[in-house]
Amino acid sequence: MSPWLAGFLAGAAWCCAVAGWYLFRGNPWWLRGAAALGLAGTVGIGASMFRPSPADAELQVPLPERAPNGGYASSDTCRSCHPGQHASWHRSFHRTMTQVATEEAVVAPFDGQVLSERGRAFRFARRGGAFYVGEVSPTMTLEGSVTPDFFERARRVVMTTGSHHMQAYWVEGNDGELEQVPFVYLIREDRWLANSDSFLEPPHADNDPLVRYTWSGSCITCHSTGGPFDASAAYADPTPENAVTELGISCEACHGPAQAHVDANRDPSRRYLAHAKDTGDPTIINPARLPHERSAAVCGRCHSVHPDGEGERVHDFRPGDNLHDYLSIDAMLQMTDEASPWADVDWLAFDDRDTVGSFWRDGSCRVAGREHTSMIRSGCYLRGEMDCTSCHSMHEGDRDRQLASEDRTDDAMCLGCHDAIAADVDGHTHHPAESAGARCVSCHMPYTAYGLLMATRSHRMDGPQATGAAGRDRPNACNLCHLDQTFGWTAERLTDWYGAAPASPTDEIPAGVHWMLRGDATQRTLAAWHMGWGPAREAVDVAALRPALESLLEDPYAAVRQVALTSLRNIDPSVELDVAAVTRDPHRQDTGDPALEALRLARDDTEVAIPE
Amino acid sequence: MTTTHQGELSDRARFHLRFGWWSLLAFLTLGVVLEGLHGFKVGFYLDVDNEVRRLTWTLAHAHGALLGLVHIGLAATLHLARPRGWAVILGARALTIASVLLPLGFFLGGIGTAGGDPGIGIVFVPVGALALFLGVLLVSVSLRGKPT
Repeated sequence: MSPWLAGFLAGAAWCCAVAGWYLFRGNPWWLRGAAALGLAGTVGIGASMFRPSPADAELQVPLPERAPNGGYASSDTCRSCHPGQHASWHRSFHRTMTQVATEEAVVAPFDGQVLSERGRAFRFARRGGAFYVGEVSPTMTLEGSVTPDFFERARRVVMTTGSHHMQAYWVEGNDGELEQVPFVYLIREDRWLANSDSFLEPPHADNDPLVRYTWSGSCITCHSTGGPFDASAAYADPTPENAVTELGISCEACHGPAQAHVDANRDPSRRYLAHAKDTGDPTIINPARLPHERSAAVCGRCHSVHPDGEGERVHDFRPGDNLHDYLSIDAMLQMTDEASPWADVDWLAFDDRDTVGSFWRDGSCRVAGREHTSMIRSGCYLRGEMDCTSCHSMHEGDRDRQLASEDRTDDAMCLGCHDAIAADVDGHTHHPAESAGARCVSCHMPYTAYGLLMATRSHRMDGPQATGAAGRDRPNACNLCHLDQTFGWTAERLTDWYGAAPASPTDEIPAGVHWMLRGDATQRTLAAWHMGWGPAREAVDVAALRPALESLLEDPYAAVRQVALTSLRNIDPSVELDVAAVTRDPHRQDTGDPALEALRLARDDTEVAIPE
Repeated sequence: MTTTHQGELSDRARFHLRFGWWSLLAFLTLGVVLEGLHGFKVGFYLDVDNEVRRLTWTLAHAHGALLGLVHIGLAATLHLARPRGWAVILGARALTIASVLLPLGFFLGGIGTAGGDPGIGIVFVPVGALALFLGVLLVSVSLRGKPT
């Protein structure tokens, strides 16, 4: 309690005591005394009811301090003048990217379960509205009742990250830093998962130590708003003293620091003049009014591959800035271009492995959430005016994908510029008009990026080619749906329909089988995901390819096994395999098909680590 | 102004009595319309984007209805206390002006809103507020001393 509040309450209690003494004048002294004490006591009881509980104080201490600073004003300030925009942002997953671990924020059941990873076991439990994680004996496997002494030893979960697909939890480490709990919670699948198993990365040994992730400058930059302004200090000392304006991604992440805007617009004449002119307000950034490169950069600050070692530089980026001033984007694109002499190097041996590992051989980004990096290689961006807001909207979009209204995301959006195709859509697509194959995005934005145990659309808008046969080759859009057809089949059609150069001859096995059995880990994952994808299941008799999918349950990569099992269940809900067991260990499969077994022996085991 | 006998309403008192009751009718009708907008969950009135419209129209309804009651009270004052002089004449006119401008300003403020700002019609409100202040002040001043 602050000294001011304590003084105020003491004064109020004194006044009540005097009032009680005065009001009961004429009565015996003991009655007057009781009245005075009673009224003063009422103030004390009332004050104790409003005092923060010890649990809440415990929650606040390890968290980054949150207060407007450095020209930031906070979303609460924006609300009074922009209630509609505030409301649409408030229901977005951007707001809930990072939250204080309250009952409303935490989605996982902390119901006493014990989870094990690499020889260590952790118990997750709650007491009232507080959530706790504590390390327990590795021999503890039975999930019995949680005893009170567990809470004395366990650590309080103070912060969460994510609220859409998965949620991670943070506790205070021994050194005062926030450190991530080694398990995340998959929201849609309603299950816990070890951190390392949520990434597409080479299998670890059982005796590898758990990786310790701490709340650092890179988290602060993209998972909170208005963070500390000395980026190097934030990286060196990521402690709670490094204040942010808000946890989560709020208004000023896209519109820039707003205090100057707030101050200027206290003057009503200025506001009404601005409404009348409708020319924008120079005291704030509106991405919709920026040139398309600058507008895209607002999202690209976080939704892009940060070349190795440059992550902290975007900390100083502000909406309206040129992202190229902060990141070596051109050098990165040059290094990862299809024609680059570096294309075939085993990048896992180099410091730049995260950068190059983020790309397919043709230079397309293969990491989900890095859409800006893909888009800036698209003709629509390079030769047109496309930016993120062409299809997405923070304020009008659906909550799941932030897609704008239908007229901006349907084929009409593309056909607005591509008028020659608009004149003969059927002749261009060669697919039935109402089928998924006739949608622009199906062929020009296939699901070739990976993240969070699923595939997402490539944001490099380009035409399909019969690629994907070699390792690090991007799987082509045609065969990701027509999984049962060969690369040759695809090449023939692309040549017939669009005059594409004939592809080199490949062996005659279905592309889906090729990727699942001979592909690298990313290709295997994407092919497995597409086996469960609705349009592919409509176009293909996936039952014929099921043995190849089942063989992925034995894959060395935990992420591949999980994606394969999810697709297997989409195809056949009666599959009874335990996802936890499949995640933990390769599940021995004998396809009984010598041809498949032979293909599996030719698997591309080049190490893949998708840097999510 | 015509001469009146004891117990008979003056023209001014009658005007304010009529004005008050018609105001009440008009703004209670507006209240019913607003309740209807609530009942049918009309986004034009209830959506968070239209928060300012909802606020200003509610204020138009409240001010209109309450000022109607003030006019009825003024009519009673004129009849019972029979104040004389320039103060009551000006005060009554100011109250009438305020009773038009305040609800009108709030209502027009709900049309053409821009973000958190009401429409330009809101400019009538401060003028009406000033008239209301003057009206109440002048009527109060006119009631000083003994009734004639």
